[in-house]
Amino acid sequence: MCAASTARPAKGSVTPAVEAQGLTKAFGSGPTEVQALRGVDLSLRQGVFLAVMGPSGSGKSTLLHLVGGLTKPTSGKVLVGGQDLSALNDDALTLLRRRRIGFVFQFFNLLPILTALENVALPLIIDGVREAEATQRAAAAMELVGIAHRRGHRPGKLSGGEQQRVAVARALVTEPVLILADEPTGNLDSTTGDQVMALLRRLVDERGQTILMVTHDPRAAAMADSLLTLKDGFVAHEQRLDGGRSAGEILRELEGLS
Amino acid sequence: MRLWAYTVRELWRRPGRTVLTVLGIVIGVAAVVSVSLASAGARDAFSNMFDQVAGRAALEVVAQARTPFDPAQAQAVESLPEVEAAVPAISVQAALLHGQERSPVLVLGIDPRVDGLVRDYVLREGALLSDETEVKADDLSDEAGAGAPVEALLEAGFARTLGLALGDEARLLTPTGLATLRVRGLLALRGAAVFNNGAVVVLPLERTQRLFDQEGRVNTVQLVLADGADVVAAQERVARVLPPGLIVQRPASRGGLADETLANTELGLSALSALALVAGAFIILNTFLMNVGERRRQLAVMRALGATRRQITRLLLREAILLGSGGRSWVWPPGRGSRRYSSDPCRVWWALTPPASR
Repeated sequence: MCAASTARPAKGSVTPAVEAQGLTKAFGSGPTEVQALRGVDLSLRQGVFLAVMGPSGSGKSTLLHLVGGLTKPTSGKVLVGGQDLSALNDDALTLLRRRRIGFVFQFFNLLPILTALENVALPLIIDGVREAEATQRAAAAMELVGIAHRRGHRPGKLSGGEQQRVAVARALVTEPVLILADEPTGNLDSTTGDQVMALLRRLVDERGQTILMVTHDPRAAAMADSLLTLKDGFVAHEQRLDGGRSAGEILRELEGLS
Repeated sequence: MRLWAYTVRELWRRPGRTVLTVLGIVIGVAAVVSVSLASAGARDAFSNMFDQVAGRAALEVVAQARTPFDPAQAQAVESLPEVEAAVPAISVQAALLHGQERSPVLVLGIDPRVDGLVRDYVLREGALLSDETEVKADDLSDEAGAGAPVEALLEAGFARTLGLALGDEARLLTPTGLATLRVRGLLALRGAAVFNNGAVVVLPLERTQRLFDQEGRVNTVQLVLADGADVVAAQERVARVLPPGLIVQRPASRGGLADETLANTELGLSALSALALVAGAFIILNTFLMNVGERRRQLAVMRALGATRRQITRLLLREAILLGSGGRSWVWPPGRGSRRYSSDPCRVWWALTPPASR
């Protein structure tokens, strides 16, 4: 088991935003059983941007889903803001996800029938926040990510980059402890991907936002504070970047691992 | 925006899918409603048919040996609180002659003053029997009275096959000889006229008794029970006050085969209704699952964003209620309309079955 000690002492408080202890996850059973994670320890302090990389099938997405409370580990536990997810029932877990975790997906996953503003306000509406307040907070989140001028448009009328900005605004609107981003640049061209990554970086630097991002893209990973590399369900490598590594260097290291 | 607005917009966004979903619901509900309505119609029709044939009598007093008896023997039953009316009648097989036609008939001798309590007579033409048509025994003793034509009611279709019209005379072959009948009224094939598939001649009671040499005797006293009276309890009470040789039973036409037929019909229709219910539910479930399946990804996103299972369930239930109400409003008015039409044809078809060749 390895630990990713992604500490940035200058930022955040003592309580880690996310902790994972001895995480394992198996799918199926018997001869068809697949071990997606084989014991991962992780400690991510608040205000840190962690990128998780690794080849396909290394357990990146599984780790993200476990940290987000979307699936339950086979063994081990996850703490988000000090709260042990395994101690929560489904409703409490849902509530934690609603208020303390924001998601950014590769395919944006905006609801096509809602306008951009309504999509951003959706987590607040789900939480029972009054419509006027939800709209106001959603508008502020859109302003923050620089997409306020497209608030009345439906997702079908927005470009990929704009849609991902709306998705980031949606993830931010509840002011979560943690943002989980699953291949946020995977469906964008490189220029737009860079813009989205710059936006995420800015959220960390200016707002102290904690972000855990899974990516295949070394350019995206290079924007993070730390890099955790998974291989066959184990943590194969961990390192602090702090802007000191280029995408090319990261790529070469990854090639060395595989 | 409230969360339920998402449902409404989703319905508007895909009008084709929404219409198809509603259509699926309409078909499912229609299957259940139509079979239920048809079943209810058939049930009513059967029930009406047996009511018409058996009349409104719940019980009847007959001789144990099925021979004619003096109705005075059963007079005690009239004083029972469960018994609202006791209606005597005599029925005899005979032959009706008209020209070269000779037809076996059931002669039903009734007391016109009270028979309406147990049987319906739907007049097509002419007049019903009344007190005046009943010639008293004293009158019958003189020659003129005995030879006077007997006023009779015939079923209209049966009379037509014999070539008889209102006011025509025909002869009735009886044990006492040939009696002359005059057609006083023609009946629709309803109520008492349904007896013997319409080959029935309705005569005044006393004339019938005399023609068939059964003066003062009847072969049934039919009992109409008071509202709310329990048939089984009433049957026991009546049995206790009857003299030896007389028994009380369910009317012959209502019992036995009729009850069995009704029970079998009920069973068949219930099975059909259950089948329609399952089929309808399956259609609706399938349609709705298809609808939800298409939005699985969106619902999963909502779950990831923090919607609880209960919120998602409520959202879908609200949508189901909305679509279900829409579907129901499409089906209900025509369904209610068809209810009216479903029972009448059934009643006519079933009631007419045996003599339909006329």
